[in-house]
Amino acid sequence: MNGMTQTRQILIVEDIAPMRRTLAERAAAIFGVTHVDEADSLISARAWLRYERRIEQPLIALIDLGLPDGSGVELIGQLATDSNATCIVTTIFEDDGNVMRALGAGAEGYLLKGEDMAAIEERLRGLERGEVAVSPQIARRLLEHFRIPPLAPPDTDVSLTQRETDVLRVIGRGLTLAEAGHALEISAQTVGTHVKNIYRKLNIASRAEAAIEAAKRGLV
Amino acid sequence: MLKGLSRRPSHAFAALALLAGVVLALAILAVARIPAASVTVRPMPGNMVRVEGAGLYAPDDSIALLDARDRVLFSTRTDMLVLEKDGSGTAVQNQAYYAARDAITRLAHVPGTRIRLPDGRLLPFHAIPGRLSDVTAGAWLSLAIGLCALLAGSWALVLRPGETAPRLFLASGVALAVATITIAMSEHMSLAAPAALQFWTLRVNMLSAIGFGMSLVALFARYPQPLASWRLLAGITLACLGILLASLFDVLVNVAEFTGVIFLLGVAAVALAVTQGWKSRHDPAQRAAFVLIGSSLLVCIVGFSATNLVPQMMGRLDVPSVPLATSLFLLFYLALAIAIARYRLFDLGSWAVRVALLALVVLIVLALDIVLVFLTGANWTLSTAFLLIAVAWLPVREYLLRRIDGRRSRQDIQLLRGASDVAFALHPEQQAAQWRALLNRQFAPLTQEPENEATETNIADDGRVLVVPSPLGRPGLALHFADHGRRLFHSEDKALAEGLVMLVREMVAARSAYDRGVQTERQRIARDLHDDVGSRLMTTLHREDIGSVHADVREAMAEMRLIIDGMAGQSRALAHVLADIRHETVNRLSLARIVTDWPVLEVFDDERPLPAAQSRVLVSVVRELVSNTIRHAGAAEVRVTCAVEGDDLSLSLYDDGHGFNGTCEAPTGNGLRNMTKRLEEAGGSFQLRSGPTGTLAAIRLPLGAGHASHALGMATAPVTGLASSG
Repeated sequence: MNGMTQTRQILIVEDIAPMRRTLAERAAAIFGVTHVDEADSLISARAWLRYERRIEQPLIALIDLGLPDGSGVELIGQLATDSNATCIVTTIFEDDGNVMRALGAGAEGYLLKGEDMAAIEERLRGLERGEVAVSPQIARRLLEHFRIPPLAPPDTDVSLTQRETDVLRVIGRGLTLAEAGHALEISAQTVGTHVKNIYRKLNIASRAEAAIEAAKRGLV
Repeated sequence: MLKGLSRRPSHAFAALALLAGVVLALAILAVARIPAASVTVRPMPGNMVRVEGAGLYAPDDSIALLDARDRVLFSTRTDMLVLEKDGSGTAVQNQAYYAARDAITRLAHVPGTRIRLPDGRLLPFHAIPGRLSDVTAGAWLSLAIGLCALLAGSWALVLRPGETAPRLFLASGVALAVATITIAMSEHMSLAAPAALQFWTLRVNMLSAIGFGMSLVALFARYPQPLASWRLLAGITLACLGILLASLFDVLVNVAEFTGVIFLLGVAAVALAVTQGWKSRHDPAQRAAFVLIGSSLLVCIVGFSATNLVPQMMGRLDVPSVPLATSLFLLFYLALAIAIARYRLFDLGSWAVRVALLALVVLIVLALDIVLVFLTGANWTLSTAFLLIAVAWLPVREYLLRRIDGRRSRQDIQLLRGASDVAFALHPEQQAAQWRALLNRQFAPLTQEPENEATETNIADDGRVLVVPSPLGRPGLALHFADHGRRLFHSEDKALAEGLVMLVREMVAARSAYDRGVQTERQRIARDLHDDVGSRLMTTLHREDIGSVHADVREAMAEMRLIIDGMAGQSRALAHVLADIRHETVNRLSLARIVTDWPVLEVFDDERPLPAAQSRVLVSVVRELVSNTIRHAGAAEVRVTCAVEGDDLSLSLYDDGHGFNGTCEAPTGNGLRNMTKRLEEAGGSFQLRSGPTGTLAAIRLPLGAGHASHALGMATAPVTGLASSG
């Protein structure tokens, strides 16, 4: 089905059809592809991953959390092993609990479906430029999370660097990425890189925690 | 009860106790005045006679009393000097005994009299005046028992005035007191004491024993249920007295054999008591009383056997004195007093059973030992001390075990569960049903009846009824007969019921507070949905421009989000609220290609809590202002400043757009009115100034909770208003 000229895959997992179609349309335009794959449930998304996913191609997956047959977090967790995939969670509200869970599962950013189309397009473009979404709420949550030393084994370094802590602190006060870069005398892009690293650490930490928890309960 | 109070029970008891004390004090003085003799003669096995300090003689050996010049004044058989011979023979023999006894006593008061023993030895024979310090321990013990009997009788009568049972009981107490006085006197009886005193002491002792036996027979024949008519009892009493009178003058029966009558009365009393116990087995209170009486009786019999009868059977003569055996009887007597006075019957009931079991164990040990001794011919091994230790230790052990066990209350969880079932039942009717079920589970009463007057937990009717007030503001309940009538309610049940009532009351209070909170929250959500989301969607209905519709829907969604956030109702730090507002504002304005200048100053570090209601107002007002700016102002830059001034937050938003004419006829007039209203409700203010070079909006919002008018408006907002207006 995919055009042979296409160099990357885009997957939209969303159960509300008009939203899915709009997202697919905009993503195709912004990411410069002719075809965008769509899935309306966990089952169809997993089927796509099994039969359609080309592992050699980069993948951008926009994944909704509240799917009819389960949570998109499971899908994000599954895709975390795919080093060529970028998961973005789509959510109506910036509910930090949901977004944090998705980030912990391996999502590299989030997209607010409740915003107007211009804002969504802007976010997608930012994603294309390597920008990253972060809100003050999430920054404060992350700070809180890493303040308590994670339950990870000592060889995996999941604690924040001083710079990362500074970034979160500034964003937590309401500054945008650009303003944060200005305040910290670094580029906005560097700030974005720091945030991405922090998201990755959150994923590593939560995986380690899950493993330790499983070992504790005798599941492993 | 009122009658008892009007008589002042404590005063009545004090008077009776004083009287008893005086009588017993006089009795002690009388006992002390009995003179002792220099020669004591005791009976020995095989009818032999022992003269203390001399030797053993046959009963018919000749003995003589001599004067200072060795003249024989009186001559008789040795057994005539034995006090215990009193009344043991025929009428003629008794008369001869008292004649001899009289002559001997008279000579004891003649100076220089000596006794010549059958072997020819001479002993000086004279009276020794009695002194208070010489009163023997046995006599003291007897009199103490007498005093206790009188006190117990008085106590029962004072607690239950005007009833037959306590009167009969006091009568038996008086008889027992008289008996103990005579026992104390016979302890001091000597050859120097007047023969008439000995004669009357013995007869009064018999009389009081008959009286005691008769009053117990009458008591058990009438209490608690009448088993014999008063006429029959009076007939038996008269017959006893007739026999006694006849015996006094040795006309009919030998005095010693008369003890048989007393024994018969005792057997009759026990038989009647057992019958009463059997008849009252279906009434928990009476059954508890008879468990108490019966077990104490058993303890008495066992104790008496162990200390008195068995050693005698084993051929030992140094048995504990009569007073010691009588003291065991006092135990039964006190149990009877408790049963009649109905004092803490229900608490003592369980103990009585344990003590009775203990007595049975001791009885079995005794019986086994007797069998062993008979089979092997070995010596008697069980000492009284051993038995006493067993009797004393086992109850202590029982008590300790119960104490330790009592701490591990396994029922607590069940109780909590039951109480929460009551508190969280859906309807008042279900609550009441759960409460009744909880009481049923806990106490298993035979019946539960409404009790309107119940204001506090109480045990009524001697433990048959437990009155429990309702923790649900309903009529209380009277529980009849605990454990399906198997036992009485006791003080632990009362404490448990009180605890349950308190627990359920607190849980119900907590639940209704929670319900009120839920109700208030529901009203708030309804009002907010109506005011914010509803009115915005209503406006959208009348819009033609699809872009505006989209904007409206998004704003309605954002409002919904705020409402959901506010559900937690928790205050957040001012700094965090401002950071989130700034983030949203900057993002929105930048999408609209408007530059934001909002310096992050010290207020962004202000961690003081902002109530949820205030932060909601702040967020939606700033959002509305930014929307207006994006839609209408045509501005290139927005400048925002915020600072805390006193207890207020002041925030101003200036855009460099084209402004409007300052009236409220701007396209978003509705929104402006709404903002003003919300800020005023929150205790703040809103000002808007506009000119050709821009618009300045100034907000002032108190950081504390909103105005009273706001809270009032919230509480009275119609829940169903959403559908009816807008």
